[in-house]
Amino acid sequence: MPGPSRNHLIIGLGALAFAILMLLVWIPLDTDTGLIEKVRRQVTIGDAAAPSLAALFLLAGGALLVTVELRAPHQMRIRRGTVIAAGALFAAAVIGLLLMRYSGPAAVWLTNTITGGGLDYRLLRDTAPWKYTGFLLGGTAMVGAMIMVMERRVSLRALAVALLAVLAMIAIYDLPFDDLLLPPNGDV
Amino acid sequence: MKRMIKTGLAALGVAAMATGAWAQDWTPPGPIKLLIGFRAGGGADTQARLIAEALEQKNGWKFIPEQVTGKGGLNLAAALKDAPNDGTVIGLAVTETFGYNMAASRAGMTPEDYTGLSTTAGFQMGIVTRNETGWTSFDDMIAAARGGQDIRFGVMSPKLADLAYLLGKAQGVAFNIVSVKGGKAVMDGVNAGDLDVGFMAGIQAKGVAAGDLVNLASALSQPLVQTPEAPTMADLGVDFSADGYFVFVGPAGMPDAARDALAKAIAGVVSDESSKAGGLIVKAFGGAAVITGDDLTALMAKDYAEAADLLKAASE
Repeated sequence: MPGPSRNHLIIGLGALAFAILMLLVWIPLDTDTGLIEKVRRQVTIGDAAAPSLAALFLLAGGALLVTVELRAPHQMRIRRGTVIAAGALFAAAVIGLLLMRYSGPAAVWLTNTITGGGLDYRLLRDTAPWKYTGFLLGGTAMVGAMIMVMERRVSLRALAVALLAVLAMIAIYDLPFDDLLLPPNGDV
Repeated sequence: MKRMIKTGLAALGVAAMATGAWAQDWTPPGPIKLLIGFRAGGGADTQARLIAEALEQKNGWKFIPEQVTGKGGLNLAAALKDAPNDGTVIGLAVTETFGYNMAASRAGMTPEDYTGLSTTAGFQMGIVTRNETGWTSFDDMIAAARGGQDIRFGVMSPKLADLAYLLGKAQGVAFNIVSVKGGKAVMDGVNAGDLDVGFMAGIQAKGVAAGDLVNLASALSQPLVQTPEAPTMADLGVDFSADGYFVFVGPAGMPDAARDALAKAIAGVVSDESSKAGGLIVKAFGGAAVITGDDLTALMAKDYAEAADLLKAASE
């Protein structure tokens, strides 16, 4: 018979660590005004109030898991396969996003290297075919890899489905609109 | 001698044409990202988009509008500050962003971090009540306040809150100052009776014309176009005013050719009342008010410097 599960302890400690990181590092670095802001005669809610509240809830949840719920029966079991699948999905998303962000500039750099030209991706971010490079490659890679992870096999069919899905998104979100930029072109 | 004068005049003409052509010949090296510091669908956003549309049609430039709202334009200013300064990133905000809001914040930004391109219109900022209050003048409202009535005064920015505070102080009354989001919220509050009076930056024009709203005072250094008899802030004992403009800006260090071409193009569109943008500016903001070049740089610097005085006065 297996011993008592340590899952609540692991998840609870993770939540506590993340909440403390939020409260002590992330929120102070990323907000300007503190919990409340006093502008001469008026007191208003500051930038840090809402995220601090969220971090406190996380802290309370983590504390409950490592105390009251520590030895609770029927704890969810984290299997190795589940962790690997989640990691693979996460990796697919990260690789897809990196391809989406950098394949356009990389294509421009390659073109400049070959032709000796001086193109700048930022200035081409609304010009076909450059503007589709990142979305097409990154999107196809992300969706295709996720399908393959779920199907547990590498297949060209998954890539073809992903390509069609991305082309459909381009048709819906880009072609009808003059002023809309596909990712990552709004941020380059 | 005559010949020399003619030659000199011709040379001057050529030089002037060359300067004009220099600015005119500038074309953006790529699409222009237009940051808009106002909520989508409002008058200011519509103004920005109509100006962009006119410039696209007239000059063949390409604009990509993007909403960057919040913190009285400081979010826009932060996004614009380190953007490329080749004319491909500009923004529409109000002069208050680069004056009071920057001076009051601790965000480390000053007007020197930006290149002023052109103002488009001023605000017809009035202190407005609804007809049902029965007040026909500012003095009527002050009399009501002195008689014990709690006057709920709607404001849509910290600067206006300070002005309302100083106005009350100058008149010997204490207003109940209520901060809301945007001029429309002030007008809605006044119309609904949730506020007794409030600052409105031109949005009140139709209501005043219809007799539903009353301009009790001008919040400017000048009288209101629609109600010239209403007293100004100076008349009411306050040395500060809500004078301000919509302003297009770019990051600091824009090349002169880009700055001049953008400023000239924007000024041309807003001053043309037959254009959609020009028509809207007449209707919503009382007409174009164009300030460009060194005058605009000086105006932004002055607003920033004066904001320190207002902050000090309002803190006393």
